[in-house]
Amino acid sequence: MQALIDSYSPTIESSVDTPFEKFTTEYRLDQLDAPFRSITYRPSAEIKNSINARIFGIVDDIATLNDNWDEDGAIAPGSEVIQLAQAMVHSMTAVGQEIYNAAPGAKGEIMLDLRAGNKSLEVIIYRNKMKFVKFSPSEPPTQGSFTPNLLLTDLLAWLNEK
Amino acid sequence: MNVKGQKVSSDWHLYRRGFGPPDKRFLNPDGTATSRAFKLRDKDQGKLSVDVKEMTTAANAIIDPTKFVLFEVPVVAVEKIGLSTVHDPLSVVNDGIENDAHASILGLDDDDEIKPGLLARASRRIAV
Repeated sequence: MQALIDSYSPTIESSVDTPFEKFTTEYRLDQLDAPFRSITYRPSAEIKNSINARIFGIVDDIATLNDNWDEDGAIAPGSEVIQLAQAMVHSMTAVGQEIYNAAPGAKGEIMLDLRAGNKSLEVIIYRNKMKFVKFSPSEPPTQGSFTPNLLLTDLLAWLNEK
Repeated sequence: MNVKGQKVSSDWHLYRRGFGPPDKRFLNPDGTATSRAFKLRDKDQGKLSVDVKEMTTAANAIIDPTKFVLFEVPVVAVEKIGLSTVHDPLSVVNDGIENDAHASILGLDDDDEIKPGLLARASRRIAV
């Protein structure tokens, strides 16, 4: 995984022929919101058969949920949350970053859990915000919101740093 | 009978029920809980619902094993991350259900994404 980080290039782009052409790992995630609201994301077969094929499948399953999906009043994730989650999975796949798991939350959010060694990076996509949480045995957990100054590459570098 | 609001003994354990039908993939691949299983929702009003293991059975706590899964968390692990646990028995009159083993984890913040993750990582799946 370190090799993947070492070889990161801000010019890496998706090969998918969609508006995601410009979705690079250097994109600031807060900029993703608007463009992703109005498109339908259909990952290619190549992408769907990739290291994150299972995660694409989980997100597809999540997209079928209705309100009260947990029989306790949980809200189903909206299309914008689904689109952003798919975009994140796509982006991670493009740079070779395996995602450990994806899960829906009761407030309509989707959590993506990225793991490397004993570290875990959770990316939580809400309808109106995106947050991250860093868990590591060697430092206190921290959380934050995606801001214009935050690059996903920085978070992945932290995750894969040994 | 436990008094509502009384602290749950640090030596005891808690059951937290999560939604996890076998045909859904809402758990981690190894069957452990995700942070979402310990996240507050609006209707919780700041109190994360749990049952005290020492006052119930896994079969009672899970209600329906075809739909739910059960996670166990030591009270001491809850306290270690700065949260507290109090008895919060439910009654038919007030809550529509009788559950003397019910308790609440207090101190979670709606914006806090860390503590739900820590609770999930401190929990273990209980076979029912």
